Amino acid sequence: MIIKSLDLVNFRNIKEATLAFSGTFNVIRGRNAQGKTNLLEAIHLFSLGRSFRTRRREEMVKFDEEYLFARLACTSDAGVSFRIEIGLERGGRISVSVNGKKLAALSEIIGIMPTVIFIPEDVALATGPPSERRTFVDYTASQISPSFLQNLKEYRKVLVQRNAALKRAMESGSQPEGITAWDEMIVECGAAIIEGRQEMLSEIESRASRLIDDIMTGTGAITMQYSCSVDLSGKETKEALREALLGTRDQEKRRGYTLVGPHYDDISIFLDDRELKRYGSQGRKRLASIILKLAQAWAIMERRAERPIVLLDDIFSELDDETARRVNSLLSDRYQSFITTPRTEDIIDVEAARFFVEEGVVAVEKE
Amino acid sequence: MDYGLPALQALIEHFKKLPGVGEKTARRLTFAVLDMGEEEVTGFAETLLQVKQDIGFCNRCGSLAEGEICGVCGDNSRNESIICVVERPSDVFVLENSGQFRGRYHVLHGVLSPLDGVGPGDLNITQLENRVRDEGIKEVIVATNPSIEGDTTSLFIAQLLGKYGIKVTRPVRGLPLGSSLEYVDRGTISKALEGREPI
Repeated sequence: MIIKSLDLVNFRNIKEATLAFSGTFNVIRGRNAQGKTNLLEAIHLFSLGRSFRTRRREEMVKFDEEYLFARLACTSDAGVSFRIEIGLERGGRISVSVNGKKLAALSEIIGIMPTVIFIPEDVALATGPPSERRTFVDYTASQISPSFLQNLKEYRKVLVQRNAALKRAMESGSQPEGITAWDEMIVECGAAIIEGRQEMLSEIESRASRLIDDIMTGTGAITMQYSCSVDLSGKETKEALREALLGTRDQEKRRGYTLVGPHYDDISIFLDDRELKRYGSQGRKRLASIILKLAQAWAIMERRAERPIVLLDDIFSELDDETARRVNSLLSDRYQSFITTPRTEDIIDVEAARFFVEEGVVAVEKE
Repeated sequence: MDYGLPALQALIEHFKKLPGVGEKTARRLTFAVLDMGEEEVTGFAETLLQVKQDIGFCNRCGSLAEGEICGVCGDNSRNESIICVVERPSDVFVLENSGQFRGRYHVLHGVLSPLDGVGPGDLNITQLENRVRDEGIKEVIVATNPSIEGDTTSLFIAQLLGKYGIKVTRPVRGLPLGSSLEYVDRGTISKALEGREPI
């Protein structure tokens, strides 16, 4: 996928912008708090239909305006052009149209333009709570497999209903009603999620190990392990999940919510056979997170036969020049990328489109 | 809006209580009633009342009935060994319209939804079990909607009826007839693929 152009009206602090992009590198310079990341947020909005910074989408509307409008033109690797338009009124609904046709559900936008984003907070992939790592794997799998996304959505709904049944049982001191049927729903969706995640992990792992050779010579392999809240050894996933639910039933009745399932799982990441979360310097954790994101992009590219857009928010400030150079050459071979940086000296030695952002005004920089 | 015509205004407000009817449609309907002959309006009004007074639920299947038993349950040419379970009385009409099904029905009057406080006891399920036990039923088709709650309810019924050794089936989730693949949403396609059949 290549983004040709982006038009913005009233997006965050950007009053108006009409931008044409390079198919390889796009460098967005500017001092802190000028609106660089707003451009990445706008592009990412077209990938998921929501902001990566906030759940409250109204925050994306310029503070003194009533609406925002964004239009993006892109071309898939197979040569199909898309024109996606997003409109959002303050206090109103978001409306999305693709090639002039309005989407019935916002979630239909997912998958049209696969995107991989790296923001400084993503170091939490290595250090943060398990939910960060689950989200990472789920995001990758959702970009590749619509049925995984479907199962994920259904699982969330089933969980809410099952928890409601358990809570009512706890409060009334009776047996949870219809619980065996809710169990079976958890088993169906849950097993598909666990197996989908495991498959995705091995896809990411094999690519991360090859990337790490290119970027940090002499460092060992990255390995990943799915730590399931359910003992999977020697059993079919469905059977294991079914037994685990049965085994925690009494405890669940006392606590009033579901205690096992893929929403409790974690992923352990090892660098050189040592768990990254416990051992490893800040620099190594950061680099490992970047490599995992690049592996994610690579997996999406090969499985979807579509190059994802890569968005990098200020990643070079903590990388040494040699590592930054290697990451750059890796990117330029494969993806269209958008990189923000507060640095003034040139960190990219290949051809790139350059933009300068100051107080919400985006200017094209001359070579 | 106040027209200085309280009776007219009252009728508009009544129409607005119906699903899918807003102010404008309600006004149109009201003027249509004004244009009708007096006899016609009387018939209309009496029918409204009659529907409410005469129609209740079938003692056997929970579908709509004038009297104790509904038309389907009273029809002896129906296949007595097969029951189709649906969520609402209106679903019976949809299935009857297809003309495909010649068995009998059972209406649950809802689906399991703990969030809304609906458990098995709030549904017409005990009666279903009684029928399976007493009427020599061989197959139960659970045609609840393909939602999380509908699916769960179908699983619950399958588990409940398991001990009677009868066939419990669920209609296949598939692609809509006459549609084109490119217009079918992804969720439907992935479910249809999961439920694929050899040809």
